[in-house]
Amino acid sequence: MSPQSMKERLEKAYPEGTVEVEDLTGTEDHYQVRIVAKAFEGKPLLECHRAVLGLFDLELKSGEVHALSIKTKAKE
Amino acid sequence: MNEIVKKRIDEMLEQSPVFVFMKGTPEFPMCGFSARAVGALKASNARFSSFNVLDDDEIREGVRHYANFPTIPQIYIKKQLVGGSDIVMELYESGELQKMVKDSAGN
Repeated sequence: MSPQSMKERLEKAYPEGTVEVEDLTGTEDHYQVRIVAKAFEGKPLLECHRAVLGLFDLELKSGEVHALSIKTKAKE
Repeated sequence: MNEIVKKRIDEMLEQSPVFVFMKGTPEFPMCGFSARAVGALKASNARFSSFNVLDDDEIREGVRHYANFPTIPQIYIKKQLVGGSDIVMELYESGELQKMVKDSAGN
């Protein structure tokens, strides 16, 4: 999965937020994402991560995305 | 999910208040994320049991559905999913993990 399509999907899911995507290995399968969005406010971390991971369920299952490290915050 | 697999996971989580599904073993983790999670638990003085999902495809697939969380490692405390390596690292850095580990051993 390309960094652009990962970013697009996250931005679509969190249109009011800011999204950063880093391809950790340059191989388009190990990613680190950072999302700052109001949608995370007051939510348990587990729920926030579950929501983000859920966006990439197919890619994680197929192995197209092997690793996805996540940071979610409600505000900077 | 398959009832037999669910039951196997239930039984594993009974083994220890702190339990990790990981790739590899605590001594020889086979993935950086599993290594980080185990490192945080060790640094929190946690006594924990683990299961190497690379040894068992049924469990590897089953834990994706068990707590509705698609990645490995998964760290459970008292049979509840705490999260994956990112969450465990954040909890460790804030000092929360150490508390959770201590509380889980107390009862």
